[in-house]
Amino acid sequence: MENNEDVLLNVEKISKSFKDVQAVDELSFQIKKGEIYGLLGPNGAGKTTTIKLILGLLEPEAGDISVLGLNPQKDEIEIKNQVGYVSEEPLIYKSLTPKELFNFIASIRKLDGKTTTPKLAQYLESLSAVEYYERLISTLSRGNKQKIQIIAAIMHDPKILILDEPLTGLDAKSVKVVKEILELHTKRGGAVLFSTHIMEIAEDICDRIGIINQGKMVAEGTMDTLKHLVNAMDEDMDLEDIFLRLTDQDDSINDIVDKLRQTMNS
Amino acid sequence: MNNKQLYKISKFAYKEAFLESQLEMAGSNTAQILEKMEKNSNYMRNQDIVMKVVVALYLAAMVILPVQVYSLLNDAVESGIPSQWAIFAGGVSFSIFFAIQLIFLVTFGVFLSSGFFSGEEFKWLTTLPLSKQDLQKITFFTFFRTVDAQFFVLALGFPITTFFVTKNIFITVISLIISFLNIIFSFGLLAIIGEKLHRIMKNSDVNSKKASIIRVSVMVGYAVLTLGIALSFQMIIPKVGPFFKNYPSNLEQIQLINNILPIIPYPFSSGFLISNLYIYINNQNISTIQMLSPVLGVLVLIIVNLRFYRKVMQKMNNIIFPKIKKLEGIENQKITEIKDIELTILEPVDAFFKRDKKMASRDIQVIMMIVMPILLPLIGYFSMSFGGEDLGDELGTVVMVINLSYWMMSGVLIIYTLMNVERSGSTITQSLPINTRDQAKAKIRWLLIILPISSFIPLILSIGKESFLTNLVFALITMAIGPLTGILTLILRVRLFGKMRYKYVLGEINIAAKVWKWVLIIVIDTIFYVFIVTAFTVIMMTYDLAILSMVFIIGEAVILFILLYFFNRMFPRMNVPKI
Repeated sequence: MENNEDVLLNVEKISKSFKDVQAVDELSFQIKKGEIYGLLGPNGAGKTTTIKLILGLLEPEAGDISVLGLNPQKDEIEIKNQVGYVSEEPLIYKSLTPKELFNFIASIRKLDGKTTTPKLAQYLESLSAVEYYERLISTLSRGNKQKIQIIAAIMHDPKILILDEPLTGLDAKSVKVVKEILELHTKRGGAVLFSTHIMEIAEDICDRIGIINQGKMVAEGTMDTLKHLVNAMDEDMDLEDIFLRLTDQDDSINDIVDKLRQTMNS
Repeated sequence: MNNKQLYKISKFAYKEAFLESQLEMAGSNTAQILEKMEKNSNYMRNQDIVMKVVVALYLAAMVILPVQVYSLLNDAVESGIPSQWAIFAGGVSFSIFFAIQLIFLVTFGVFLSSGFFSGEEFKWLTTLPLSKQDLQKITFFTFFRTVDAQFFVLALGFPITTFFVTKNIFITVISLIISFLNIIFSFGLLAIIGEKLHRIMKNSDVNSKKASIIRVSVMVGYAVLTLGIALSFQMIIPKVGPFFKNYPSNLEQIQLINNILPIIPYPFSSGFLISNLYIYINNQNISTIQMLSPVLGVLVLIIVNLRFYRKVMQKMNNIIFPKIKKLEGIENQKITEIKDIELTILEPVDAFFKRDKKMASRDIQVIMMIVMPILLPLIGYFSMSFGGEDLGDELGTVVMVINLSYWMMSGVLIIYTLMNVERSGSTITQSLPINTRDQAKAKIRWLLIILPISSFIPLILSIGKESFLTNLVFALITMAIGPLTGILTLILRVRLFGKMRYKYVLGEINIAAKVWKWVLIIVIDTIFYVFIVTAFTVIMMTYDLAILSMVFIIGEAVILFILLYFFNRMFPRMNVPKI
């Protein structure tokens, strides 16, 4: 029997459309305490729209969302106090420095300077970002901007982390550090919603995976559950193969590979 | 590859440079520019064409000044004005023409030039199998593309004018040579300033006071130049005629100035050379030394141009091989250590205000928003002082009505610019537990700081004059109008674009019928403006200052009460409990 108190994020039959495009279509999933949930889907599948609905940045046309038992539309501020968000495209005030940005975020979140400063220093050191602390964000590389965004998302010790392609542009050491952060976060009862295109990472760190296509959930579960779903328990299939099969892309990818082979060998 | 092919390739690099310059200029409006590009793939191309046509037309229109000067020189020769004075007045006037051309070219080309020196547009070119020489040529061609329209107008405008006015081939040829020398000087200077500006704006050592002061000064200077240049040209044209006619009795000093001033290579050597030649071909005696000094100045200009050329070519090489530049930057950068890290926590409203202030010091759009409301009333005052003498007693009222219009416009502009600041960091603000009331209050604080300064600045100019007291009362009773217009715009903007089911946000959520919503905002603002200005003018003309003060103070209080009612409904006070 599932304990409701363990569910930190509950998404139930939500729908959202933009003009004629159905971005999210009766999508449902739950994330529990101590869990890393991977949300996978091809480009335009509705992952970012789902995340925006969870954060209360968009209003669903149907369905319910509950974050820590609260409604994102009504209780946006309370929810954001407990959620950390890393977006796919880091639009983070390019004319500020990380120092100014962190001061701004800490002020808006009304954090305690004395307790947050050592944490911030540790995160900066762990992600090798101390040297960029007083440089303009616009002068930083994609990877360094991403580090700043990750630190901004975790500096207030959120209960839920919502990460949209968080490892883009990061070097191997930083990827390892972020993975460790996520593990520590879940060990102390936090939850993670992890959206990515990189199948190896999803397979490596996610406890459960939801695959969405055209706004709908096409499969959900652990790696073993997903293998069952595609009748491939005996096959040596990885998440990439399962993903392509579930999103009906495996046939088309074979065609593309054949054509490429012909072109490149000619 | 031949030059024609390389010139064609430079088109792609130029497109990139143009985009970079537009984004640098846009600052906090970057997201909007990208949005426009997404909607219209020809947006940048159209912008480029429009900008080139506008700058070229403006530069072409400037030849009105040399036409006038030639005509005045002719009159001077015929009416027997001493040749020393005619040469001096002609030389100075031509020099002003060349100087204004240069300022105009630099002012409107500096961001494009700065974008060019970012080197972004050449990064992918260096991955292609192109030789160093080819890359250098592409860089040169790309820079030429940034100034091609201006180049042709500057190169041909003055000589063609000279030919049609003087009908003299010799002086036309000389003016053509001078134009080319001036172009090389102007474009060299434009490239050097553009490169310098790029370094200042992108300087990583952003927290040093020196760097901040330089950056803000550059941006304020730019704003002043942009606003002042059109006005200065307008002011100069009517003053040239009287300048020719009012010559001093003692011409010995003028003779001395005529011999010394033209040695200064730019803009005086060219200006005095043309002036001397024109007087000379009209059978006036000119001493050898007087003829030699502008020639000497032109020779110095050639040497300066050669130095400029080498310097610009070196800077262009640095674009292709940027490592050298980066190493130079690193030496001066402050390395942060772990012990330097300390958070400073402010109240949310102060944090929003401080963020906007920091961004303003690095963003030309935001700094323009701060400077313009302060400069516009000053310009209004100056332009009325120069051209409004005929208005007599009503001058004060007219100036105040004009300034009232500026303040109301500024209120709208400030809100528009500050709203765009929010968009530039949308992924951060989206994730923060923001109380919209704090965010909105920080915007209003800007209105309350900038607009009263804007109201009282013109008063400084009337200190000691009879009108000072009246102007002071005017400023006091109308200073709330600008902020009220700003608050009205803020409320309308949020009501139309940021209404959600349970709250209002400052971001643009409801983007359907965007154009119509903006039309509605502008219409409502305009109705408010017409109402205020009409009320001001009618009461001022019909009654006295006391009645005007009473009506305005009561009226402003009522409007403030209504706006506060809507403000509090849309942005209620919140007491957020911690989970």
